[in-house]
Amino acid sequence: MSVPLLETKGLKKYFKTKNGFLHAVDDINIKIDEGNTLGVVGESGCGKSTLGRTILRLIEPTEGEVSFNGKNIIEYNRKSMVAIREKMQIIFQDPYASLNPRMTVGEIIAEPLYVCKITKGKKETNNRVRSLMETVGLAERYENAYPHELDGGRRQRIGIARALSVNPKFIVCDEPVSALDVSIQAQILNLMMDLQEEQKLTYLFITHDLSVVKHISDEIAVMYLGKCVEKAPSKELYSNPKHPYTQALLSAIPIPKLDQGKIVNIIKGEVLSPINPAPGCRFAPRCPYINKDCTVAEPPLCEINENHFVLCTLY
Amino acid sequence: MKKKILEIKDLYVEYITEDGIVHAVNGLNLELEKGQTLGLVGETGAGKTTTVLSIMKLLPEQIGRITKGTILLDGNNITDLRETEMQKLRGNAVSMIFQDPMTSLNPVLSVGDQIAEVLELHQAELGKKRIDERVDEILDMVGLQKERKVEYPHQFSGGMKQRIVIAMALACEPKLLLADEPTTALDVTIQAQVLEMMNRLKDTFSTSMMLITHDLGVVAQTCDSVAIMYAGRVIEQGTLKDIYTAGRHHPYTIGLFNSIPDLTKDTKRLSPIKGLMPDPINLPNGCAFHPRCPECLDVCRYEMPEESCYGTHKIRCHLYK
Ligand SMILES: Nc1ncnc2c1ncn2[C@@H]1O[C@H](COP(=O)(O)OP(=O)(O)OP(=O)(O)O)[C@@H](O)[C@H]1O
Ligand SMILES: Nc1ncnc2c1ncn2[C@@H]1O[C@H](COP(=O)(O)OP(=O)(O)OP(=O)(O)O)[C@@H](O)[C@H]1O
Ligand SMILES: [Mg+2]
Ligand SMILES: [Mg+2]
Repeated sequence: MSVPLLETKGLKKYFKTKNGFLHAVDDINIKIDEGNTLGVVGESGCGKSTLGRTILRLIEPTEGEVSFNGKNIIEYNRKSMVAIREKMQIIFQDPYASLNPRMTVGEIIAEPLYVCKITKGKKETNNRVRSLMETVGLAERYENAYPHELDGGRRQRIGIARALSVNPKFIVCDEPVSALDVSIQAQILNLMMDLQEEQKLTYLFITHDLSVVKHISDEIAVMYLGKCVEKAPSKELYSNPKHPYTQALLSAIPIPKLDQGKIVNIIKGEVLSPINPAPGCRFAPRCPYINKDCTVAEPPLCEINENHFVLCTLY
Repeated sequence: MKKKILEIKDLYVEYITEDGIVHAVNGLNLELEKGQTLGLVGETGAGKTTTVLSIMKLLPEQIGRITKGTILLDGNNITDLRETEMQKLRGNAVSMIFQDPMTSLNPVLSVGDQIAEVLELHQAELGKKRIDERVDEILDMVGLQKERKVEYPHQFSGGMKQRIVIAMALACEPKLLLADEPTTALDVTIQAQVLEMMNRLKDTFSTSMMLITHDLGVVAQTCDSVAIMYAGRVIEQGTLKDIYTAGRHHPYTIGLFNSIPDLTKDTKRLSPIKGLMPDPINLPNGCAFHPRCPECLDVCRYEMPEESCYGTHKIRCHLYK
């Protein structure tokens, strides 16, 4: 078997807070083959962005390994890290906070080109910036505009252009289309899938839009409070969801049609605190199928079908 | 006739930039009945946020301004209201949930203190102890643990910050709530919870709501009526039934619905509307959608279509006359 392009082993990130350690990412093991997309979904605050950032070492992990092309990059020193950054990029969740308000659109896109010394001279850089803007569908006149003058959709395109600028192999896409309307979203998703095919890009695609994630992913990981509770090939996950949290998620998708009946939110009850979490399954306090084993110890990871893993005492 | 909480007539808003004048809102007409929820949908850059900022009178000073039109809030013309008067309305009569949660959060104040501050401002009669209890209740309502109220905004994820902002807006129990993509950053289960909470507010205090969203599923679940915006105008509006089941639609509306990935089908490629939103500095003549319209007629290129009415259903397109 070939080495996956990206792999994490026992990856953990705990944040220190006033009341103790917050288990944001807790023992995540994922593999993504070159040219594939792993979708990551889960409740807001479950650690998706932290996972993405820890993989790129924008946040240092508390424990665990991140292998890129079979090499553990957690052991890399600063210099090797700079070199590898070129290959690993991120599109940020927040198109407002992630763009420097004092830089023009052109400067923002050009910045990684300078940092990674991709282009030589001003002219080449400018040309590259223009062609990137065209690739992501930004009109030329925005080159000298500032981010606050643009609407959310165009701002997100800047983020995508910036990530693509250094010809990466792997991109963490942190909700790249959440801020966009459905038509632009479809354009950007088509664009990202075309780029993936052309450049053999590998994506870790974070989103909470369950129709988007199904469309773009080969495999999907469902996270709940720092844990990966279910992982399966896309189709399998939708046709055969096993974890009660996954089932709740899928049943809460609002369908753009009338007479679908009101969505009933089947999960109720207190959310377990991510700060020094109690032993056992983290979903237990809200789970409709809770039994006495659930609060004793963490349930074992179980492969119930080929490549379909669930973390639940029911299986 | 039902009472209107909000009426916008022929509103024009522009932004002055170095490159020229951005025509963000161009003759917008909207009405919202008391106790109802209106969904405002449209391409990014269509002018949705600008519209609600105009109602709140929070357009960026010097840069953004209303050049024409009137805005009536609960029957009162607020178009030329002075800032001191407007301040009294904000929070109580009309409240806004911003698209970007950090606009309404103070980075150096703990989350609990911020919610308490809002309550003190608008519901001072509660008293210190009751306010503290309310803070806990409010956090619980949006699914956050009350122990975390001592933490600061940067310690929360994007969606959690959004939930805090929603909680703050709801805490004031406003008459009109303008929610600018309140659930865009949330997963579907929390979204269901938040929408349920907003519906409860609507039932208990007969709050009227304008809900900006890209999610046509959310609209179907929560709104009574829908307005679809393109390049600063409403190009189609009507009841939920009109928009989701009627036979005739604006070609832009049809394009929007076709862009949504269908969960029940396997499609390799999505089918977005071709092209991009026109440059608002340089809007095309005639119907602003014509350069992208698959049904474009000759007249569309030079003449702005009038609105055609079919009962509650209104469409602004030359195909319907
Ligand atoms: N710098 C930080 N300090 C302390 N806690 C943090 C920090 N960053 C994130 N957290 C906490 O870690 C947890 C996971 O946050 P993260 O941003 O990864 O969530 P997420 O899954 O991306 O959520 P969303 O869908 O809302 O973006 C949350 O409980 C959050 O409050
Ligand atoms: N401060 C500003 N200065 C200049 N132009 C602006 C400013 N704010 C908004 N605009 C422009 O006005 C137009 C309308 O923007 P607005 O933010 O209202 O769109 P929107 O419909 O809310 O889009 P989105 O769905 O992306 O939030 C856009 O073309 C935008 O670039
Ligand atoms: Mg996130
Ligand atoms: Mg907006």
